[in-house]
Amino acid sequence: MDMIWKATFDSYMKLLYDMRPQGTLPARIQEFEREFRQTAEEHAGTMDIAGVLARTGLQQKYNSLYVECQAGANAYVDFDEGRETADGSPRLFNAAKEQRLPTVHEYIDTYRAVYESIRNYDRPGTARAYQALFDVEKRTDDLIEAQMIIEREHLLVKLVTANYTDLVEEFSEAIDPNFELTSSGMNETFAKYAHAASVDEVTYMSEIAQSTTVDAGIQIQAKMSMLTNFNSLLFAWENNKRRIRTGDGPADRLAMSMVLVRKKVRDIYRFFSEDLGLTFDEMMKRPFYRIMLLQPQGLDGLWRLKKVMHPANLEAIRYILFEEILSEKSMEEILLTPQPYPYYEQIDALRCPGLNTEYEAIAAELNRDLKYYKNAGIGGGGTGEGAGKVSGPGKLSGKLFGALREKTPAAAPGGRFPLRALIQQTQNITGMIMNTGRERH
Amino acid sequence: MNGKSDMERLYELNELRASLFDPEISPRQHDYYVRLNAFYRERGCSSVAEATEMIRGTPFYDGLTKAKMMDDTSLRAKAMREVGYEDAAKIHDERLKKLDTQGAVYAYTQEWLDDFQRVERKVRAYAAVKELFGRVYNGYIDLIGNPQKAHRDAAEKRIREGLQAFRAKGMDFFRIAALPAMKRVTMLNDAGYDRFLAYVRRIADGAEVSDDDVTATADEQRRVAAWVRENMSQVREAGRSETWKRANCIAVPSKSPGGYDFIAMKEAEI
Repeated sequence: MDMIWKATFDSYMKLLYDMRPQGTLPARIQEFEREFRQTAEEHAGTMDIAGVLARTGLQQKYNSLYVECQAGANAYVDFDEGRETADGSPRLFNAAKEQRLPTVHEYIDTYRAVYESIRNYDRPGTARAYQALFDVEKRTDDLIEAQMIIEREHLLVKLVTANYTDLVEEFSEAIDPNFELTSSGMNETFAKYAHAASVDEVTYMSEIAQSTTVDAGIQIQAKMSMLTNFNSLLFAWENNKRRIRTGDGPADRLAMSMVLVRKKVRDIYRFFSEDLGLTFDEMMKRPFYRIMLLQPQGLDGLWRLKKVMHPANLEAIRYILFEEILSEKSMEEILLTPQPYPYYEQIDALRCPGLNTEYEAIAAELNRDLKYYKNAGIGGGGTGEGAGKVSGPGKLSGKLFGALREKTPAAAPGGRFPLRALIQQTQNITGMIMNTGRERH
Repeated sequence: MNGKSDMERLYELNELRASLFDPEISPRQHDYYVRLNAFYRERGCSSVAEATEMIRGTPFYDGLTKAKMMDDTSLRAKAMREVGYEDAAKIHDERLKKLDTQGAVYAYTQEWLDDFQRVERKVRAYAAVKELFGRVYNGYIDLIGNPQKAHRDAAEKRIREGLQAFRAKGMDFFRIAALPAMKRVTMLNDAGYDRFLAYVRRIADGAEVSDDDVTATADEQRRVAAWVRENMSQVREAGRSETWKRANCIAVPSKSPGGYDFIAMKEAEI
């Protein structure tokens, strides 16, 4: 069993055995232990432990055993009235032994025990949610009233959703909400879970997300292919035209290329507008497509800030698309008509070798105070400053963003963040969060 | 509290809990609390301590655990059905029946574990098929929009390999494509989806499509090239009034109507 699995295995089993199960429970826990051990061996090296436990049903089995250990008629731990445990840990109330109802403190201790088992893995929102629950005993010493407060204020559901609320807040300020490549995964998963009205709803949503995140991944790849092709064609059209007019290169061959490019733009625009219902006007209404037409390059790990072409190019693209390429004008007429809107090409590294570095420094400064980069311990720009400072071993944020950081392409010379890697990375985050969601209930 | 007896307040608590379980999402847990109150009333329960004792040995004692597990399983089945994974949904249906007849004991059997793994295998298989389908679709997009022969050849090859991979799995691409879940992945409308399938059908039937565009434009290319050679001075003259520059800036997401602010603009001559 590898170290990460062993640590998880030990903490799960310790929690069950520490409750001193009785009756039929010990045998069932031993059976669970055997299955857990076997699963751990089969999945050695897999980082996604939560996902494996959820998918194999072990997590649900564990949850049931845990609940039974706490509340089952034959499986209570001893409760020494009026005495603190030696290590200060919460004690579980033994109704069968006590022959009385628990006090509010004893009732809430059940949740303290759960919290003790997860506190090292959780985020501040979860800690706050548990604290709100623990504070109920300061508000009343009446057991029924305490339960009414817990139900009315949805304090139990918040134990689950608080983690997602935290993630949404942290992640959404670190990404570009318009940029579907990074936002779609979050929108399909924890942004929905955060607003769930019950734990059952989270279950339902995470099951749906098993399919929708796969779909979203495929759709992102398709959009990337379409828009990359479209941008390349538009650039080729403009670049060829400029070179013909400025005498830069063999004009006849450049013109031949323009003829083929024109056909391909017509094909792909027909595909956009007729097959997908995505007209140019529709693209202009949606920030994602507007920015994609400016050929973005990420200046930080999540592409919140992007180096782009001049935004005036959008007007130039509209002109060349409708007044040139899609029009009925002949190539001769097009080549003899001056273009009224300038199309700005990108500044190349030869002319401005320090531009990328300068932009990445600006990005790092703009991202500096974002929680995401602080928690992940990575720089908010291409300089990669702070890399390696994951916030404490074992913390969920550390695991999540530590894994994220590993997947984040290191700032290459010139500081580029490849788009394909970004897509893979966001899918990894989504996968981890999905599995985290599936684990938690 | 408020002059109410503990028992009256227990009824209120159970009513509150029932109301918080949406009957559409968690019907069994909702019903559990409704029926529990009815049970107490029927038995004339007079105190909370008596209520706690009264349910021992009745289905109410572990009824909530069973209701929770059944609601959970039922929701998983519903979700699988909604995304079009009917066979995975059926396994959850079977699990639901087992829970109903065996109770929570079922959760501690090897069968429980096996059933979960069966669902997992189905879900993984769907994801793998979708990803394979997505590869074929991407090849189609490249064939539509990429003018470079090497890329078009590669895209055509990817489609052929994708079709072969479906055959290797014992599946027919076009039967899979008939599933609504597959069409949904492509984002295409009906006419667009038909065009996509017809294009792939041509390739499946042995047509070589990567040179289609070159062939279709060859005459026009020759004609325009000849015209440009003869009219170079006019073409250059037309471009004299044009501005050709290079520029870049940083896009910062904002609440502006276009969704971005553009900062740090840099311009350079071509």
